[in-house]
Amino acid sequence: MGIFDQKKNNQFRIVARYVYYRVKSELTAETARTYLSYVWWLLEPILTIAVFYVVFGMLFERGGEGFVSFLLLGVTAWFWFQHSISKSVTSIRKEARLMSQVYVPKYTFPLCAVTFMLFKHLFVVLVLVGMLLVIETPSVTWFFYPLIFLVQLILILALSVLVAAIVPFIPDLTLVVPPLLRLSLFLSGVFYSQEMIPAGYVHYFRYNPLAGLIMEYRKVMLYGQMPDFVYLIKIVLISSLILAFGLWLLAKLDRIYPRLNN
Amino acid sequence: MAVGEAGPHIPEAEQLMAWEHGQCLIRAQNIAVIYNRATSLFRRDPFSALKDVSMELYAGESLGVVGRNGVGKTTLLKVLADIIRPDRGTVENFGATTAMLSMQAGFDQFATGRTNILLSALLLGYSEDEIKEHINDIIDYAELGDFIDQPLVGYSAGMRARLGFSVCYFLEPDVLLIDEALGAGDIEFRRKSAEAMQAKIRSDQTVVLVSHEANTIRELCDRAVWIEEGVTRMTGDPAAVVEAYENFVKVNPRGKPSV
Repeated sequence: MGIFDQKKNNQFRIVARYVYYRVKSELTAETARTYLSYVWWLLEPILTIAVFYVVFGMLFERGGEGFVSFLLLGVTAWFWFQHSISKSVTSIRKEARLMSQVYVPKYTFPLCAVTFMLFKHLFVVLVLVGMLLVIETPSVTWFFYPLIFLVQLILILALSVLVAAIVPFIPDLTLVVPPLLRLSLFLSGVFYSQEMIPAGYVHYFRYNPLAGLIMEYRKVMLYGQMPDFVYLIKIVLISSLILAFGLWLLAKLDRIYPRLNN
Repeated sequence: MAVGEAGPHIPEAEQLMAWEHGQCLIRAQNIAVIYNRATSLFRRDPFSALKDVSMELYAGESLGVVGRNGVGKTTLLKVLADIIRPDRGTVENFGATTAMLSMQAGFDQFATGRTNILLSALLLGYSEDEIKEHINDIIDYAELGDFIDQPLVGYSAGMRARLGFSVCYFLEPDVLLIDEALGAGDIEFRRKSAEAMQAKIRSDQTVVLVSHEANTIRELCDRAVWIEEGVTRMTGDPAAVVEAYENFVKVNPRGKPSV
């Protein structure tokens, strides 16, 4: 037909452009659907912070000074994680109709989900973590915030690809993931610090990468401490392995997914 | 592309220029597709959609596939489009791009008509420049007016069908795969689209047309394949193939329940 000009189109470039336009359209659609649009993106974490502040700061008197900043870092990091994973869970499954019409490399779908949440979260971070500029005294260690952010992105991407790859084969998992994510809220120190848990458990607490990352955010943003680089590198390495495994699964099963709903 | 070879279905640049008339584009040999229906976590119920199908597709021809409901015609199209791979047998694609006509099934409901055209075209391998070139034709042809910048949730079924048809009509893949109905949308547009599609099938566009309506195949196709219970029964002149198929249906009103 001569219309195609494939010389410059390798597969990943096609996927990248697809993800770009798809995410752009989803972001526009989401803001058009509600009256307060962007404001909701901020209200959700803000309301959660308010709840934790009332329950733990006021009723349990566990807050102490700087509790709002403390909650802010935990809640934003957890929301990002939680929303990305729950969007990725069904990302391949809900495209059953599209992939029965045209070949699409399946990693496209979790990539769309993660990119969408990344942009949404960037907006939240710019506004809410930006508020720390006013509340807290800036420190040089703040420059490490983007580094920890990047490590969290790799962690999110790895887990998102993995769940997206597995869930179409075991749809029951869509019911297991939400309670697990809720559990991650309680186990990741979103509203408490490592010092509040019994010393015997601290060791296990560090095995939870989300808990560790939330602590690193607080170290650099609130306490002026250097991040634990060895710990961050460990998360990156393990996440990369999980990501490689997830992408391998997706490639291996690429033409099996369209068969599943038959 | 050989079976089992990983990687994109997107062909290499040098293969993309005009096809010589009569050149073989896709060759399927003894393909079988077995679906494993999961009835519970531990039980799988195997079901052969295709058992032994062989066919070749040549540039410029329109190939009709006849057979009753549930004999695996749609599965065959998915194999030809490289959406799924057969469990047995080989499919060779000599570099042709393929697409199903019913693109609207995969549209994003919350995106606008314009974005859906863009997304579909990207998946069919078009660059943004090429899409820009075609997008106005597509929009005009779909007769959507201002709705083109509205999300699809507000569209009527007819509008969606019109958009889907126009996308596939203008974004010509090397091989167009058509499942059952030719016309789309409301009566007026159905007539227009059916005529346009018939003109396209008669032209140099390579088409695989699947139908259980023997007349459509007889009228429009250059060659026909008859599939019964997942096996190719006959290949050749459409009039002869359709006749054999109709005789068979008369004698065996329902050999097998529809799936």
